[in-house]
Amino acid sequence: MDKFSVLLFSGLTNGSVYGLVGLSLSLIYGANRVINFAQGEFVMIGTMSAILFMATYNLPLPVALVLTLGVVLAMALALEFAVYLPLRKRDAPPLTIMIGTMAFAITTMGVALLIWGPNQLSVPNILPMEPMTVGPLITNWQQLAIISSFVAFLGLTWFILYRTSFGLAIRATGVDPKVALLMGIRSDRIVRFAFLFSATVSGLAGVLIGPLLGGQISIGLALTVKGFMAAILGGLGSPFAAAAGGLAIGVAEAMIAGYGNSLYAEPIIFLIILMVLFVRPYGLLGDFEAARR
Amino acid sequence: MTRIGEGLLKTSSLAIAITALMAGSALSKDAIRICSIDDRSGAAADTGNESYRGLKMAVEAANAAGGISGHMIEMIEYDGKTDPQLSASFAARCAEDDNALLIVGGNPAGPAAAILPIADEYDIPFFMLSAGTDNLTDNPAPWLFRFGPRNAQDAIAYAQLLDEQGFKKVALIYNTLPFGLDSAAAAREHLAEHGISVVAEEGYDIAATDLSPQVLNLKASDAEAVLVFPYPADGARVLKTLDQLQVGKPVIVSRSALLKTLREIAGPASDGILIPNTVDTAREDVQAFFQAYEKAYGEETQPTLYPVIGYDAGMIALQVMARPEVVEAIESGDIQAARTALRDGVLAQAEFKGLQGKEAASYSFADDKRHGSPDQDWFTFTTVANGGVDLVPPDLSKFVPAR
Repeated sequence: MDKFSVLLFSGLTNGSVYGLVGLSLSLIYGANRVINFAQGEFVMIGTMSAILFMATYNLPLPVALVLTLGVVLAMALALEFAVYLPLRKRDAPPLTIMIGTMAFAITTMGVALLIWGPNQLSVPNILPMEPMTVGPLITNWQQLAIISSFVAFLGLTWFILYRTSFGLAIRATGVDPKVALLMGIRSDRIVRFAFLFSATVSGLAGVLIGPLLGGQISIGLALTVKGFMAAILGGLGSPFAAAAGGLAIGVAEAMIAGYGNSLYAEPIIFLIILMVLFVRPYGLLGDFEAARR
Repeated sequence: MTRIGEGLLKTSSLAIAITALMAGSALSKDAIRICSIDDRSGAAADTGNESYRGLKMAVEAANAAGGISGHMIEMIEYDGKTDPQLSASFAARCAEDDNALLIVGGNPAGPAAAILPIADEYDIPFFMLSAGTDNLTDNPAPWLFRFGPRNAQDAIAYAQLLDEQGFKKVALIYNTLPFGLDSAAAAREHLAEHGISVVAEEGYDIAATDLSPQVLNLKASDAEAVLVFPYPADGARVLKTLDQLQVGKPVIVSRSALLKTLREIAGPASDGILIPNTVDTAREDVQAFFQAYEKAYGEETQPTLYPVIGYDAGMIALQVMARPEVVEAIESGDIQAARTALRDGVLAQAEFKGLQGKEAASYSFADDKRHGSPDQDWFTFTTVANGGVDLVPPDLSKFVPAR
């Protein structure tokens, strides 16, 4: 077993999770300049709904997945209609809306506490968890699914943004919402799409990482922080940069833990992010955002 | 329930009742109140609920036998939700509004630490349960009595076992929360006393989905065993990764593995691990207790320390309440005098037998020792079997260095 390969693969697994959350955060930020602090709660609701439908109600997998997605999408609409739109109508600045998303996150956790209780719960795996050897690696299907989903969502995002007219409208809104509106683009639809798509990405990530992390109502916060770090490191203005930031953090964590000391991995990562931001204030790949300003 | 066990339970209830009768009349009198403040729905709800049930069994047995000198025992329960502030408020309510004789609770360390100053402020005995943080009993606290083991005692137990089984080099892996860091520090200290070196050490963030880098380093080391100090979900991840990367070394996991959650999530990857426990299932009275517990609550329970700690705290409180000076103070209507008499009664008795520990062990408290459990003869080890479901006695002949 080649150590470097194992570490790289481990970094890619963790990085894919951070990248998916970072990508979701960046999609919403791109559409409305708001950082959604409830993003990790979409992951948590995905995980906990999987427990509800797959374990508690023992529904067939496709039905459980559809219902889980339904719950996550309903939550995205609740965030938009209960927090975003009322604040936007009152001309609230992005910072106020950001605090609103934080309130939504805390409320969601409270509701989840009432439904699922406080304990760590076992999350059923949709793919086998038994170890298998792939070249120099020992892995399992669940880990491979996380990386594959990351690649698939990245590809889908690229396709939507760069190969559809709707994607062109999203990008136009991201560059200048007012000009986009003058050009006849319904920015409210763009924002709704951003909420729904990012909720889908995060909810599915929750279903996939649940069997590895365990289901608990407080898992969302840590993932929001990691996703935010990813987006800042890569560049908040571009979903691809945010995703790349997630991968970079995951791989750096694994390499520091593997070749150095895992106790210091997190402080070192924060230090690296700080150094990067000194040199490139808009993130490693933040040229787009820098140019926009 | 076996006849011997049944007899032991009945005898202990009878002993309380007889002492109570000797101490006063058996006429119907005001109830004596005991407050239970524990984590019943927070992060450590399993421990709080099980301890509460154990305490309730002790109280119900005493009430069924006529109470203490004709006084029934009334339990007032509060759910601290792992919230220190809330637990402290409940403690003040117990002392001031409920006129409770004592407070029993404190499985997680945070709420236990928050109740402690309130107990001191209101001069009310506090029987603290499984909160393991060492420093809770380091400072003088005149109203505190601890019934669970300290983290350092767990470490003493691992170190002794590893030494006896011939281990010389071990690896540590722990989460980077205070529990993991404290446990690792205690382990380092006591392993060194037994000449066992820590040859690899890894901390990890509990939110990491993949722990391969850390586990790979443990695997690459020449450690003969791995000690794990986790919370339930991350502990399951460590065990799964140890299994996936075929580390093949004996594994000891801290008390958190006694909780069903860790074993449920880890599944078969938890089979064969050793866990320190303070419940010796070879004891007839322990077996009888768990049979009675399962009968009372209608669910299968693994023999862990949590229900037993609640039961022991309750039984010891009842024994001391039955002392003439405590009964006299209760009947005089002076609750503060009764609390003081209860505290002095605990200190006056040389030792108390309970269900925790080995047959020879007993609790003992003193003015400068508010920690009841001894360092020796207290711990046993248990192992996991049947895909993470059962806790069974281990075959220690197989727990030998992987050389």
